[in-house]
Amino acid sequence: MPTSKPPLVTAAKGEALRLKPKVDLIASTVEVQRASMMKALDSRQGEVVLDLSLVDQIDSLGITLVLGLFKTCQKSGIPFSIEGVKPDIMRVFRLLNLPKFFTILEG
Amino acid sequence: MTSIVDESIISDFVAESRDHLNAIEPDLLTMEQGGAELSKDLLNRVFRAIHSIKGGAGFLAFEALKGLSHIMESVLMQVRDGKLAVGPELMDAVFAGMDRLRAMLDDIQASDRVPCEQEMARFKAIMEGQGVDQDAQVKARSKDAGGNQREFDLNRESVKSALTHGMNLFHATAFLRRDIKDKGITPLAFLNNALSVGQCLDAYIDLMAVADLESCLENDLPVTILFGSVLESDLAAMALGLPPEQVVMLDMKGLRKQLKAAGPAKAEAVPEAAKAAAPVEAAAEELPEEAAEPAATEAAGARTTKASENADTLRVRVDLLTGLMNQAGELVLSRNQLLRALDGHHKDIPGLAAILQNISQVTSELQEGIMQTRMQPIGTVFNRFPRIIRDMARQLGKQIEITIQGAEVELDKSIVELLTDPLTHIIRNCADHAIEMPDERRKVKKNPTGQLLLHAYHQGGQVIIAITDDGRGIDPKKVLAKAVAKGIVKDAQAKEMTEREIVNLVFAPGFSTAETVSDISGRGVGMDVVRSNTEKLGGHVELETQVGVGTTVLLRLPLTLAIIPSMIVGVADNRFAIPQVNVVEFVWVRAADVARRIERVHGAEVLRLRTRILPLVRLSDILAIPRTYVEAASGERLPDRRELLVDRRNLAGDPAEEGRSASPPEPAAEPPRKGKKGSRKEPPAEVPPPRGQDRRMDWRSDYNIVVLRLGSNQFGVVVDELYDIEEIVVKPLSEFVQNCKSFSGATIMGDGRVIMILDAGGLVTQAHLHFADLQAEEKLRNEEEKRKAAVAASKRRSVIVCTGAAGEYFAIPQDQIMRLEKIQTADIQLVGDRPFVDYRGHGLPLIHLDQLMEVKPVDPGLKEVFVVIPKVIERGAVSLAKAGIVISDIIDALDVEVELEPVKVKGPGILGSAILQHNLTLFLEPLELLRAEGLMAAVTK
Repeated sequence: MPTSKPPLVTAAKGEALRLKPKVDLIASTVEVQRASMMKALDSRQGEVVLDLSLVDQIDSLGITLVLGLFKTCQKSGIPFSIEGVKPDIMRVFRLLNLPKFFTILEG
Repeated sequence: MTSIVDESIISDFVAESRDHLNAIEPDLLTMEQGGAELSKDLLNRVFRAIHSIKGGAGFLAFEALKGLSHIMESVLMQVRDGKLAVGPELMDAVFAGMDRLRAMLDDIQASDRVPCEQEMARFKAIMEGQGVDQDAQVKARSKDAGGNQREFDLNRESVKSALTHGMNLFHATAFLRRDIKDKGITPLAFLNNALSVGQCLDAYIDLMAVADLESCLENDLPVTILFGSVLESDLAAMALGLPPEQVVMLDMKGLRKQLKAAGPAKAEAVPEAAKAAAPVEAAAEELPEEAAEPAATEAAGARTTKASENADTLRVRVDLLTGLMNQAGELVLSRNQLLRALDGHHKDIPGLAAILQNISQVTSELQEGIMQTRMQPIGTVFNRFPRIIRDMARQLGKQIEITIQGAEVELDKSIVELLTDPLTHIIRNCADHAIEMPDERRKVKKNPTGQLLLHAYHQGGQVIIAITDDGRGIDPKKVLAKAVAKGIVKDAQAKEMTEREIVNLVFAPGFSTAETVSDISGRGVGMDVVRSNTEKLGGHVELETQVGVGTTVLLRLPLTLAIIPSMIVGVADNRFAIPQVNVVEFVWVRAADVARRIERVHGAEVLRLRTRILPLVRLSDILAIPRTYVEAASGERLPDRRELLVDRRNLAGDPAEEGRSASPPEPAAEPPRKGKKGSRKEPPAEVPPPRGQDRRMDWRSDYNIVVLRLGSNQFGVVVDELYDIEEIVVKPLSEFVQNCKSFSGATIMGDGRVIMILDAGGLVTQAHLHFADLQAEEKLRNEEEKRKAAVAASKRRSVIVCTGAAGEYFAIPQDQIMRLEKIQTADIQLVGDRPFVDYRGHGLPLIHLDQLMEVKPVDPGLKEVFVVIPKVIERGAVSLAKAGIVISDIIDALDVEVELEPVKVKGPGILGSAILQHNLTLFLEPLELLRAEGLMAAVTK
């Protein structure tokens, strides 16, 4: 479970649940992030915003994680969007045509 | 990290794309004018440029840029293939597209936010007009890795394009974990690689395969990429780093059928030629980028030229060069300090002089070389104007042709950049106001196409840029009327103004003669900004115009801003630097010459310099430094209460002269003179005269005048001292003194002192100099001089030729002779030692020439001789005969035109000699002879 750093800053403003990872979403961190996200989602039903402004790197597993998060939201009918995306990561999202599915805003 | 690497790749891409766009703009203009006849090379060039931009944009995933360049590429492809005709609408759309691409390149990271729907729509409309639908889709079929039949929607145009270029269409599947992560590559790297292998038509993740958060990490997600490549599928798989079974070719037959069905003549049959091009492994990676070209050789050719271009030049960041410039400046300063510090020590250290010389030379060369790196051809600014003129001409319904000369003239980069706006404004003004409508031009028998000439050239250490048009010219009457109406000049002033001054009113802030303020120009903020911008650069702008003929705007600019040779001058204890480009010459007016050379015209002091009259200003006055002079004996600097440069009061010890004790002057070479004008002859002054002598004659009252040039005008600045010429580093003025018009910057001297750099234009403004008046005066005087010279040059003389001793001939000007008389030698009497003769009841003194000059005496045995009585005019009337010159015979009265030669014969009153009627004749001046004999008072001329 969580290390010394709290895995997610969950700032719930009004109805939106903000998930803001403080680490890169890579193989070594995704599991911990996944668990935290699940926990955060448990308690909420409103809109979910994934804030990636603190994330510099995202690898294949990171992408999988993000998509998993989206899928979960989609299944529950919860609106999902991503914000604060750094340019490199934005490029990957675009190449994979992800903006087709949900709103992605650059940071 | 990767982001740093990407940064430089991106900035390279942006720079190269900009180059591409700039390079093809002239081609596009040619295309437009060319009409039907278009060179294939030209079309290919344009097409390739846009294609490169599209490729790079796709590679780096700048979607908007890619989309716009893609549609432009499609359109250009149609043109190249002869399927679309070039017309004004097409070209307008292309130019608009280019502008939009430029806007995207200006802020590449925000390029996706640049709106381009309008431009895209235009292209779509054009292509639809040709039966081309950008958004149409075709269905592609394939079997996926699991053996399932999959169907994809592909953009029809993209498919068509790929097929045209001989590509196969593939569907590749890459699993995020096993094909990407486990191979140690990032998703971005994988996708970039994929894009380099082929033309990406689509890429996505099948969301059906995505699990929810609980178990998502347990699944390996597949990414699907649809792309076109000239490679066969096994090679494509290898290039992608994927197992062959994961790279599947699409059903090409089905695709082609769909395309055929879509539109009539649009069916792109398989380009057999391209299919035949069997790609070699080594070339595999590179080809797709150039795969747009059916002929691989052409692509190879394009690549090699690019490579060789790169070898000759290097991209260097501008801030690096600026840094080098600053360092060079510091080095110049330090060198100056070193030279000064070691000035007196050359003997102490052997070989020091040579070392210093070397350092000095290397420093100068280094500084020059670095300046060269910053030099940019002015063509970079000029080359945007053909396009601007084209757009404006179309907008205004005029015909304008622009010619550019001297685009290779180089200027410092910062100057070139700062010139862009002023030049653009001038050009727009020309097109908008100066050039008439074609009909109007025909009426006045001008070619309906207006001519605009942009000419840059070097002259006298400056760069001159001349913009000349053959338009309607600037009408001074209209200008004056507008200026008065706008309150820029008052009625009273208006009457005094010369035509030149009136025309220059267009530079006044708030001025505009446009009837309607068009959105092109005419808001009245243009020309004054042009002038101030040019002056900020240390330059000057002038206007020459002729109504009905045209106008020339002339910009004079310095070559560089940073390090300039300057003259150091002094006023009291202050030092100032004057840039050498402004300096015409130095004039040293000796104290004794002051009265002759410095005068007052229209109340202002002026200097006579050869044929010119230059206004004079005292630097101490302009800069409000109290005037001083150096006291002769003590060397003390004292306040100078004299108002004028020229003091025409009595020179002989006038007790009224302030501040000093009057004492009798030294005996002068000539008797003291009274009168308004001062002495014209210079007293011997090699040794500084002792205290008490008239200070005006003192060598310390000599004037040092620096003649400066401002545009085509010149003026003189009186300074106390002239020092050295030094290379100085220009430092900008601090904000506290930025508005001081007299200064254009500051610099640090070798001794560490900070001194100000004077600005010629500012000095003129501060001193309120008016050149127009002086020009009129100058003209008058020059004409007067010419007239006098003409008269003097006239060598026509009427003379009386006579003889003295046998064989000696003399000529005396007729207009100086009152009478010729014959006398008897016997009637000559001696009184004292002067001969006299009775003449009309008076004793007339006689002059024997041999008494005054080295000539032989008249034969004493002659019974009769002649006497020439000169005409003397005193107090406006001819006086009684004063004397007579004795001659032996009168030979002739002649009108001769001769040039007099100087003679070796010593004596007064000899003008020279010439050969008259085969005889060497001495030309005499009778009045001088009288004077020499003391028979007439000496007069001043």
